[in-house]
Amino acid sequence: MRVPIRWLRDYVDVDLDPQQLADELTMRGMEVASIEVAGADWTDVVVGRLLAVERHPNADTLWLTLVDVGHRGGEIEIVCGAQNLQIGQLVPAALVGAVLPGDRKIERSKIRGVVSNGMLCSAIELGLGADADGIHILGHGDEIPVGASVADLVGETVLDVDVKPNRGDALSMVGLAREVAAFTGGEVRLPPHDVNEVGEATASRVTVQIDEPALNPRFTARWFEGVANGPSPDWMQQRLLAAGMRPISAIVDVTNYVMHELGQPMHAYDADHVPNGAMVVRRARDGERLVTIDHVERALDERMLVIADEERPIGLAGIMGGASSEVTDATTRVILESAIFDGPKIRNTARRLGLRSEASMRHEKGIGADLPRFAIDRAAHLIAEITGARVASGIVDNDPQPRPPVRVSVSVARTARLLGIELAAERLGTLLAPLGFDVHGADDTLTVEVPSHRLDVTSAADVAEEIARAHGYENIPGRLPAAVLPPYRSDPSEPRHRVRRILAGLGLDEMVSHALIGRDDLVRSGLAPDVPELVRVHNPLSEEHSILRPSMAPSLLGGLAENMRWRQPDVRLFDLGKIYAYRPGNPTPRDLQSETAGTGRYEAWELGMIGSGEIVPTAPGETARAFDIGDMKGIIDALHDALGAPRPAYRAAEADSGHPHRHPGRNGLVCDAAGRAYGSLGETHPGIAAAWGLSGRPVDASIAIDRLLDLVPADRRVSPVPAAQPVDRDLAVVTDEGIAVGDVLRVARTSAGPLLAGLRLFDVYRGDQVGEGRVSYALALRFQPESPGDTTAVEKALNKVRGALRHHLGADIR
Amino acid sequence: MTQMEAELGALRAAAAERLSAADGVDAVEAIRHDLLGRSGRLTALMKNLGLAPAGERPALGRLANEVRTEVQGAIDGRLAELRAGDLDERLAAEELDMSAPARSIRVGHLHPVQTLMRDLRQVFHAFGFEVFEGPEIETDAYNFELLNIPPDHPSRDLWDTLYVAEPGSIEAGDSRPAADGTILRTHTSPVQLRAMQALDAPIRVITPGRCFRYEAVDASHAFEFFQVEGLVVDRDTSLADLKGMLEEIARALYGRDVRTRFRPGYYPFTEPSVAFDIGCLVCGGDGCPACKRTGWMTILGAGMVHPVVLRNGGFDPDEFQGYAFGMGPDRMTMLRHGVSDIRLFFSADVRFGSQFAEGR
Repeated sequence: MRVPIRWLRDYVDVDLDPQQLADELTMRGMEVASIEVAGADWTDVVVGRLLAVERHPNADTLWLTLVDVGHRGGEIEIVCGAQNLQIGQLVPAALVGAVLPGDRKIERSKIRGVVSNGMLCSAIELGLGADADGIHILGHGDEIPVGASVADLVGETVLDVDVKPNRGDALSMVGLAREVAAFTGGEVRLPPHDVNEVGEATASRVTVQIDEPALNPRFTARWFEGVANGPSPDWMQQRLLAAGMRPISAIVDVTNYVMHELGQPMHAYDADHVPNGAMVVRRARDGERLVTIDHVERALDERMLVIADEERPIGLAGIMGGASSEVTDATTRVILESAIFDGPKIRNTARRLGLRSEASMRHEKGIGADLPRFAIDRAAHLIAEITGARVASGIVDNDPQPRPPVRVSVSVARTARLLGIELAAERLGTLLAPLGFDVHGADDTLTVEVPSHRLDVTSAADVAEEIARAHGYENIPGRLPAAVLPPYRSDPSEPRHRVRRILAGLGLDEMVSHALIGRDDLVRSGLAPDVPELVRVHNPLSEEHSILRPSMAPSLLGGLAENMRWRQPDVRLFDLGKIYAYRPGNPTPRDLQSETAGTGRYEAWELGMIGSGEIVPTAPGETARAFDIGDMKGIIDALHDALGAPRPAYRAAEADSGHPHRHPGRNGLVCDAAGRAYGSLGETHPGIAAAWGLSGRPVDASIAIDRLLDLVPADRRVSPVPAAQPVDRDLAVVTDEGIAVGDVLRVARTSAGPLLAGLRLFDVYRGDQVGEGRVSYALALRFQPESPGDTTAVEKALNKVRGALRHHLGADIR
Repeated sequence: MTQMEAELGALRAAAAERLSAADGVDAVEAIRHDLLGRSGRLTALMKNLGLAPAGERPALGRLANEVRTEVQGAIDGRLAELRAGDLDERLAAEELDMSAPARSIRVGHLHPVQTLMRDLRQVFHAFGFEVFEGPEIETDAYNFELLNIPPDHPSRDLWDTLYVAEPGSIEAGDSRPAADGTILRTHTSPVQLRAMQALDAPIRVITPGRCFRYEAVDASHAFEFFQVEGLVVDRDTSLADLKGMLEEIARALYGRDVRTRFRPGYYPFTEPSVAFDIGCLVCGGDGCPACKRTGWMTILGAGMVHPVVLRNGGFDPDEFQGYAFGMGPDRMTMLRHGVSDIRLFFSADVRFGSQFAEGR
């Protein structure tokens, strides 16, 4: 909320400078987000009197004016394009050398052949408001001396206060004045609200029928005759502009002025367009339509609350009036409404219509029960004063009875324990009184009476916050951390962080990509965009971020594509994030075992990795080599080694393995010793690579990280180092083409027994020496005997390997 | 002087002369063979010792041994000299240009927000906080209602929400929010409730994780971001303890000299509520665009857990109390590294990511 300090001073004395005032308000919970000083950046903008206004000799739309700027240069000629100039007006004249907001420098210039010695300023040019249509008229008479500094005159310091949603009462000048008075010890001065009632009774002119009092607990109305509705006075317009509102007409300006002053939204109806003065507060009927004063036709339904005449809606309750009964310059009779509507109902309607207004915002946050009556009197006072209207006698008010204050029972000891400060009953009373709370009782249990405007205070904890605010948060002692600690539990996120560090050590850069992806990302990755397993967002910001990713593939391919767009093909990336799926009714799928809120939607941590481009030559003269599947396996193996998990086995994936973005012949699974897959890897399908704009042959991998971590033995015991030399043996294994080399290695490893210390494939040969359709694999085996010279055990193990390879794979051993 | 003495003397002199003239290892080996070999001259002389008169034999024997040792030493010395010369030659030939560049070893980089969250975990761990995690796909109940934020409450404006669609409704062209109230969590606060429901007092947890909001993207707003929430529940932890804790955390993260400001804030799930500021890291407190000229930067929100929330978490608010706080690692990372655009955190561009090192 914008708070012009000059205006605030109407209601409370302020001896602080703007910065001090802002700091105090912020420390009391009324956070000042910024301090705007209109005028601070004006130099050489002075009051000038228009002595002559003539047509520019060379331009039909421009004026040549003669302006008296007194001691600042006498009578000078200024060219101006505004259409609201009259001789005798006092106007802001920016002299040559002046600097306006936005660092705009005024120079002597020739405009269509005529020299202009400055510029006459509009409100927007001075930063005073939004009005760009005409020169900002300062006055007409002798009230202001010509040549005076305009900054001193209308310059204004405006605080932008971020009023929290629970403090609707502070969304007003008087509300903030109460806060200021509470910490300065000052008094709040309420504005004049006496009404000179004349003529017949309001009740004979206006009737109000309320269908559901729960949705409209209070409705007050007044009747005005003989209204002369023109522009509101300059002082009111300037204040509205400073507060960020646009002046419209006297009647409308008064309602806005009082709303900003007191916090009560109001609406004025042209009484001649409310037949018989009969108003009904009811739910809209499905299919009813209303043109609001912004000239938009709105479709209504029965969830919305309207003000209606005898037949049709004439306003959206608490949000915006209807065009049919809008007050105009021709209006002479007015019905003024000042009411309280149900906050949630107003909020819901305003949101659904996309029509949040200053009024609806205040209704949402709640209005104190006593406010409508006070505010309608204040408005009547102003309307009578400004428009000369006659105010009808009495007031229509559905619930004029004063209601008892809310009382809260507060324990002094409990409050002291919550806040961590010393407190006594008297102190509590002293702290609360300036905020308008009455405290009764003297023992531990006190009764606190809440002022009617403080709808947010309903419990002892709320009162505790008021005490803390009054005491000053800065005076709460900061107690050094000391606590009874809970029993230790291990950190579930730490293993993931270890994985991150290991991967960074292996040369991969971490990226964090969006969990929300688009339909196009799925399609480009070969994934079906319409399957029921996808978790979709109802109200996405854009289609690009509307689906929770079911796989890491789109993120990985997207990350690589981003780098390739910048000619960086040699990258290795990883992303340790979540994947998501909707599987209602199914038991928790094993690959999604992480977390769920119990809605059939599952999420699980997944490690995605992708690499592409060249293994960069490490020395001059060496040749580059493309990053390939073997490199990715190397990363995966190294990750397992570093974590202490047994290295995985790799095998070909089935055609429908759920990774359609991969080359069908270069698509594999990462498996544990029992052959269960917990990850996959492969080369990007050329078609998919083209769709993402990827060059080369990128390789990606995806691993269910919690399942990998499960493979790490909790118990990591070590063996003593044997005092025997290892024994190296090579085997040449000839098999039929089509036997996977992974099987050769697996059979060798599993049959070799506990002495096997290392197994390496060091050559692959196809050709005459083994014959058509046969392959020879050269394996290097290293055995570690337990005692020196124990070659028999080694030979035995080697024979077992030979036998197993022959038996299981039909291999010849050479 | 006997003849033998004379011969030994001559041999000694000749050996020295020949060795100094020898220009290679082979020549020295030839001299060794010639003098000390099986049929070498010194060997032959020593064999003839027995022919000398008995009275001279001991003296002659000593002299012969002396000469032999000396010649042996001279040969070894000369060999070492020559070999050293060869090595020098080799070393000279093997000189490398030491200004040549390194063989490159690729080092990866961790994401700066992840690193900051790790640092936060370590700081909080030192104060006895454990990590507790919860789901990102949440229910309206946990994200709002159980946190004392009823439907259509104005404070819901603080959290613009992404709603999960009713399954099948988008495909049918009639998108509507899921009937069971499933949403993407807008903050990590629902994990407060999950922790309270799962754990006994005393509770001291932090709950790092990803959050989502319906938020138009610009340099300082993202629709996905991270939060770290903290929760303490026991019997006596007060607002004063919260203040002390936050001040200590600020010192741990931003240095012992950091200026802090503890002031009222607003959250529906805390009462009293707190906003916590540190002196602007950009201008030091003088006021600059980064702090909107206030000299302060808000780094977290906090407060005493609202009695309604305690009750929803299974604790009697007359008996138990505690505090909660929440902070934004993205924004803290921006401050730490001078990152001006939050969108960079979701970029995979290695020109951004590779600037972040482990640090000290």
